[in-house]
Amino acid sequence: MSEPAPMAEGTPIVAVRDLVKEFDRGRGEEPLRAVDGVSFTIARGETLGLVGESGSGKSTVARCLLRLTTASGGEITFDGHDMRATGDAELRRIRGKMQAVFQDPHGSLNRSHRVGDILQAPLAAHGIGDRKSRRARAAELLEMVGLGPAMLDRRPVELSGGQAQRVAIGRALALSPKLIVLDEAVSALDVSVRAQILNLLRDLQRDLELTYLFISHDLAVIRYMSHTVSVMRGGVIVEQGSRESLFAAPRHEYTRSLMEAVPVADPPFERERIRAALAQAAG
Amino acid sequence: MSEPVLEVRDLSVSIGDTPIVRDVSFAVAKGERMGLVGESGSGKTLTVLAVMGLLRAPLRVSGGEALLGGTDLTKLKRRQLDRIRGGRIGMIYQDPMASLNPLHRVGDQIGEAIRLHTGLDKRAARERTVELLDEVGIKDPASRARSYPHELSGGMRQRAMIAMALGADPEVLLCDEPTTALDVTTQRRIVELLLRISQQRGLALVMITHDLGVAAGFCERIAVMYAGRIVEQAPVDELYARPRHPYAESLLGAACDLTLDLEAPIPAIPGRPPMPGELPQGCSFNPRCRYAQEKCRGVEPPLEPRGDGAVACYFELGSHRVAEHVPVAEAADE
Repeated sequence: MSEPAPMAEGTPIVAVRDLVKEFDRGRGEEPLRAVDGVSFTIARGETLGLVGESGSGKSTVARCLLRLTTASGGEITFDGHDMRATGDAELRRIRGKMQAVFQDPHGSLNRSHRVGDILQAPLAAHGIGDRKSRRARAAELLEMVGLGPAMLDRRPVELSGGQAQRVAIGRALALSPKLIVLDEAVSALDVSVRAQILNLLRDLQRDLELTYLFISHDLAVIRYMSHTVSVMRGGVIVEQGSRESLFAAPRHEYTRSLMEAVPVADPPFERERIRAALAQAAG
Repeated sequence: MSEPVLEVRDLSVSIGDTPIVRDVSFAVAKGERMGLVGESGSGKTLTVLAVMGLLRAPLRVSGGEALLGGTDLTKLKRRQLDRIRGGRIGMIYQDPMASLNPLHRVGDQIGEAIRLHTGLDKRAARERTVELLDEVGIKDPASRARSYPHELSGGMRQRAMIAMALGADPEVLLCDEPTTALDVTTQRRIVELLLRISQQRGLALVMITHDLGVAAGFCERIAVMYAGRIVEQAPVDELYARPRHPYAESLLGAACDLTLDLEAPIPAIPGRPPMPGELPQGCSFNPRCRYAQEKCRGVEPPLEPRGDGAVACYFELGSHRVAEHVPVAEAADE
């Protein structure tokens, strides 16, 4: 297959148009439409925040983009490649440029491998370098995610949640990707660790010119991380826009209700909100 | 404070000789809502499990007491405890699916819990179940009682769990991260529900959470735990407006809300909490504390009354700000 033409400056690295994903429910039942006509683009080096509650279809969008599942309709372009038409060999190559980090860091790391092996696995799978250079790259990756070389010989069970998530990020960086899909990547972490990981992700994006698809149910985290934001509900995007415009003046009622639901660390303010809600419920 | 319903005094939990929870004391009165706030591994869940007599070997209560109306729960025999657990003291968990039997109808499970603790007959328990489901805001409670757990949404299941915990008309309700697994909008409804029932029933409520936003509107007092100890205890308004312990201050600073400064890094706490058995000399927080001084690396500061609460720090926050320095535990893999 021929190399696609180099992309012009300003062309989005990801373009998704009218994406549809249906799941078969079997025996004469209508298929379930988990994603129903979703369109968005992500500019190079930027972050698109995809926010929605459970069941909104946001993770299914990510899985279609990563081709972990087959889309039922629509177009997905990544860095000039038609992702729905690429064959297996090409897909393998593209996958190096498109990595993912998921919610459960321990669940996504092979428990029986050492951290060094985990970090080298993508390199070995793509036949990059020899043992020595791969080991050096693993140490370099650890440093990039803020861990010391002593970690190389540890196993996942010995890591805290934050350390394991750093290793997962390091592994995602191994093949110098252009895009990283972060699917609830900080949702399982404690407050102080979450702050560290968010800071790390922002630093890595700046230093490595990474593009992120950042998926979360947490609007506060989405706001901190994203350049543009898409709000999903029931398989469709109900609102999207730049971070500034969306947070300053949300247009869709659902976006407003999500924003209002975010707890604020201000006791008198929160008490008043709860009091008002209870008074309203009591009629 | 009026007479406490539940009073925990110097409670400690250990594995072998390694203390995991250290000298935890708190009290809740009728109708009072207290928060036990801390990150994972801080000992907050083990504290309530110890109160409930639910610790499994090798974990054990190694000191202190948990008094429910004068009875020390930690000294009770299994059979005596069974009457109190789920009776005078109830507990709800983060994951209602883990506590509901997927093979039985929700109403039957609640009814069974009611009968176990009240001696009502089957018919009366069924009526009571419907009343409770109604009380926790489940629409069409009679038909919902016939649902199986998987037929309910996450929020509904949590409401059903709360109804089950209320079945025996408890005096105290311990809630372990009751909203953490839920969507934000559902989370809010559950917090409102818990607040309403605690007020209507005069229920003493302890909420365990890592989320300072959720605790803000719900709790009247908060105890902040770190490395197995309470490091600060204060009325909620005081804690948020003027935290006295550096960890409490850092935790408030590291929280994400819609007011975060987008141009700056989030003020994260460097390093990570110590593992039990690997506590640093002196104050457990000192390697991560930006105010730490020589004294902090000597003897661990005791939890002492200050203002309307108590703090385990040698310094008045603010007074030692001049000594600000880069903490020792800078690296993330400390």
